[in-house]
Amino acid sequence: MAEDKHPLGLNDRSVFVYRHKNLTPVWTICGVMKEEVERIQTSLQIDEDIDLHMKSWRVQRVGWGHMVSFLLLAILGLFGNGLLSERTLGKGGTFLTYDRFTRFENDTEMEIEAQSVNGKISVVLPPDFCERFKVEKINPDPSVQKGDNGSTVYEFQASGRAHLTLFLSPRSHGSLRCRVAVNEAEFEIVNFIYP
Amino acid sequence: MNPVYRGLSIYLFILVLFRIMGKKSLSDATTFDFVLLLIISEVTQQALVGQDFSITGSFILITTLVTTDLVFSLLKENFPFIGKATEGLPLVIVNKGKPLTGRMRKTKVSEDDIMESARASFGLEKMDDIKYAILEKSGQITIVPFSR
Repeated sequence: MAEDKHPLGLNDRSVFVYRHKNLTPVWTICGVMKEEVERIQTSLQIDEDIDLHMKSWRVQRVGWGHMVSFLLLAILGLFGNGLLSERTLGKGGTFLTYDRFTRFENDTEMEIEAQSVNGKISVVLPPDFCERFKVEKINPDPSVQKGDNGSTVYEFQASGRAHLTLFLSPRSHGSLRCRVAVNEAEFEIVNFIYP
Repeated sequence: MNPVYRGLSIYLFILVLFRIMGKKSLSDATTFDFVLLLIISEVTQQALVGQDFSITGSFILITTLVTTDLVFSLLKENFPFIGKATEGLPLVIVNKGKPLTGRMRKTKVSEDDIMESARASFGLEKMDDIKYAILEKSGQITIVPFSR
């Protein structure tokens, strides 16, 4: 078995260990554990669990990451007022813009741009929608306002194209999927209200 | 939303957020930190109360907050780990005159902060006079001088 022996007296196992001792651990490259934390012995009567400290520092770093991503998502509009939230639907020259994400009791707007038919525009809000949102104000004021099988119907007098704004206030939290009709066009509204 | 849920969610959110922010020594608190704290309390108050300005609402909210606090203190008593996780532990930052820089960097404490505490509590002049400096759970730095 003499030919199996390494000239420097190393066997397979020692070479393996040697190699791994020289590897830079991934966490050092990432900078997560770059700074050495001293381990000490003191005469203090103190409950100092350094491993728990290190664990909590690690959790803190992850927490900071979550805080930043939370803010970025908020800027993008995942919680309302932003790119991810605003949605415009169009059908046959009628456009409806609304916020996909809204927050409880935080006012939002729905904008409708439509062509009048026979001098009027009608907007039908289904019962689900009226349960979730309180219509605070409509600009311009509707000429007719009536109930129809649980839905609320607004009629506006208009000539040519008109721009309507509904000022809404969310009354409860949760998700909503319903159909809002503007003249003959139906739009599917998907919305989530944060608590 | 029910005031109990409001109170509970805000209590837990603030608990987690302040734990994540990390232990910053109290001696480091600037005027700006106090102003920031005031703004945070103002924002929290609005979310807590919402549109409910009734006395009953405030009774429910106050009871929720106080009860949650009580439950946490009972939990801490019976399960020490919960206390350690929510409030942290004391940390030695100077050992026999030597500042432990790794630990100090992690807790954002500077040598100046330590010397300030050392001067205030014992009138110590140099780092070498400090046997131990400990960053306590409360964020205060306590000093143990070498016995002369």
